Order: sequence, then C-alpha cells, then structure tokens
Amino acid sequence: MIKETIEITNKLGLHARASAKLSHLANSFQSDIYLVYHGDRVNAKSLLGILTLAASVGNPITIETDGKDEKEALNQIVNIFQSKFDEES
Amino acid sequence: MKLYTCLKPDAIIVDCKATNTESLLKELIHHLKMNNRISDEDYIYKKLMEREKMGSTSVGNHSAVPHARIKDIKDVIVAVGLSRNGIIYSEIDKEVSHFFVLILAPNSSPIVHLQVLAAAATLIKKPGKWLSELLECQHPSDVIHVIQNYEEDDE
Repeated sequence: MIKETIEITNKLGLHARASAKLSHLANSFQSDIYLVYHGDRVNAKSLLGILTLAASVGNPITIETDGKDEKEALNQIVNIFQSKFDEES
Repeated sequence: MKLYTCLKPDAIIVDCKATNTESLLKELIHHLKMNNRISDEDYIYKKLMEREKMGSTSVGNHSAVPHARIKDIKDVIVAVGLSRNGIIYSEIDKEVSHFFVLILAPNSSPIVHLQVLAAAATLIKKPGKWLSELLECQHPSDVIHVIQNYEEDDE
C-alpha cells in the first residue's frame, strides 16, 4: 500500500460533480483506493462514500492505493485533485 | 450536520406525482413556491436542469440529490420528495429512484452545501429499511421522524 497526503485546493471542495469524477477515475483501477479525511476513511470507488466526507478547500486529504496498479492510481488521483477537477480556470 | 435538522414539513412531498426528472423538479419547486420558501420558480428550475445536464445527480441506492447554487437566498433550503412508483431519474444508470433530496444553497456558502450533501449521502448509504419506511409515510412530519431515527442511530 502506498499513500500521499495533499491539500484540497478547488474552492468548492468535494461537491457532487467533483466526487463523481473522482469515483469514476478510481473505478478505472484494479487497486483498492481509500480516502482519509479528518479521521474518516472511505472507499474512493463509492460516490456516496466520498460525499459523506464533506471535504472542503484548504484541508488535507490522504489517498491510499493498494494493488497491482497502485502507483498509477495514486498518481492519477493526486493529479485530478491538483487539476482542481478541471472546474476552475 | 443531520439532514432532519434542515427539513421543514412544508418542504416535503410524501407522494410525488411526477413521472420524469423534469416534472419531479417542477413539482418540488412549485411546492416550495406555494409555501413561500422561494420566489423565482423558473430561475431555480433552469439552474437545476443546467446542473443535471452537466451530469445526473442520481447517486445510486434509488436516490438523487438535485442541487444548485442560487443567488439571493439567505440560507440553504432543503426539500424532500418521495415517489412511490419511482421514476427513471438518470438515463445513464436507468435505476428507478424513489428518494429525492433537493438542495438550494446560497452562492456564498460552499461549506454548508457540502455538509447537507454529506448528510444526505450518509443516510442514503445506510443499509436497512429507511427507504421503505419513508415510502410508507403519510405525512411530512413522519418523514422527518423516520430520517431523525436513522440519523440518530449513528451516535
């Protein structure tokens, strides 16, 4: 298992559309992928799970990936956060 | 935050008549208008449909969370609709949806918006009979009680 902690930088946080993009991306990997936010740990492949976090801008979130494609999964999940889910130019 | 704390009986429809997404949103918004919770029905409908076109707010477990950020409202407005027959809310997942949590959030408060979404998701994610219990409710106040019971199970 590998993990990385980043800060949420998109101003709306993990709202519904960003969460849908994130769960869609997570589902494209074989690895198990979890998000840890303020002590809550959820499956990143579950849209409802992500939404329960109410994860907002300026807060740290940890991405854990575990499986054959864990490196690629971690890279791409970190990237989608850093690209602010393509919602801010 | 708990969903039941955001709910008022005048923002709940226990037996929606709508048969598709468009008519469901209109029915919920019209109900809010009749109870003086909102003013501009057409504007709010337009914002909600714009959001659905960017991607359905269907979240699985027979539920959807239509939402929009609305200028000129002071506090978040939450409405609940229950459809006994259910409707196909999303053409993508084709799942029959019965439970709808409509969220209208002020432009100024993205965090409150996230907290209401999180509260709705926490309920919708629960295993058990919350949905069948909600679909049996005859009165809006019963809906609030059922939701409160399930939400207080968390503590």
